[in-house]
Amino acid sequence: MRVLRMRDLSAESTFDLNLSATFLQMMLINVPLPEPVAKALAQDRAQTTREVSIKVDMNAVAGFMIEVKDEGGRVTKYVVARTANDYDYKGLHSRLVTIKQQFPKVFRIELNPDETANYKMIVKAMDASRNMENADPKIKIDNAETPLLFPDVVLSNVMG
Amino acid sequence: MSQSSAMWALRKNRNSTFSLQITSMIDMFTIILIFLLKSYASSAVTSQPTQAINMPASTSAEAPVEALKLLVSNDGIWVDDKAVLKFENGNLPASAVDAKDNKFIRPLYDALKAQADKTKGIAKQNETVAFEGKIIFQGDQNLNYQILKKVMYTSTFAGYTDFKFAVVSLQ
Repeated sequence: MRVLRMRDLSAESTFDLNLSATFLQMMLINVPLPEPVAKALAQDRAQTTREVSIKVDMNAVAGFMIEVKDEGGRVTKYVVARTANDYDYKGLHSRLVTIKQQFPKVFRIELNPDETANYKMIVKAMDASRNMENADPKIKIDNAETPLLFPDVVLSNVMG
Repeated sequence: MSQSSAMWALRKNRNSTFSLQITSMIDMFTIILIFLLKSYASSAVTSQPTQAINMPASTSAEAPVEALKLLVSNDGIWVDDKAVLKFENGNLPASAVDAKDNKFIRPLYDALKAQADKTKGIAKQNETVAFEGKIIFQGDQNLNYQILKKVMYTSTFAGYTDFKFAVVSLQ
């Protein structure tokens, strides 16, 4: 901060003129993932056919309806009920963490929002799905802890 | 000049007063400050929302990338800061939607196609430019998914398949 003092000699009055301007250049810190996690993520993204699929439907009445299909074709369904006024994003996160424990090398989910859902709800659901939180149980991929939950969220009903 | 008259002139100078006109200087500083704030960009990507939109907050920490800007407010759609479509009572006007495909927004497609063709034309002349089909989507947080879905659906036909949602960072 630079302080410029000026004195008006005729009036014998003094005042301070504070001029401050700060320019910040934003920088990024590149934090690479642990190698096994990065490798698993790259492999998952390269897949053209998927043995494991995780679909999350946003239903305005029921809440989040999750359908998990495993390698053997078995389908398991979960429902995360709505709270009084909104979707239960914490409930969704908790459920996805338990699913991640079963499929640690899967990083993609399909999100199908209801047409009554708004953009904010979709972003919140994506936030709940993307990363692990500190309080979550640790999930390891080849002995490396993954900070990622399901970072690849696909809005799969856009074309449908 | 005699010694006494020189002393008198010196005394006169010491006792002289003047008033500093600072109004014009403050004006000048203000103009310089605004100019610097407007022209200095700390990031390669800057965005100035032209419409009153309230973007949703997110925990995402991804850095923004350079891409075509698509803005959808509660009033209409803008492509690269140019108005493309005005909503009627918060909804898409019937005339804007294709008669055979109710998810296809014709004016949006035309605007995006023009942008895509322009970028592809530049790419032919300049090897450093490539059409990547990326869009930075700025939307109001209350935007209905019904409209968002149609916007995304239409964009894919114009060649824009890589949507990046712009959000306000909570980090």
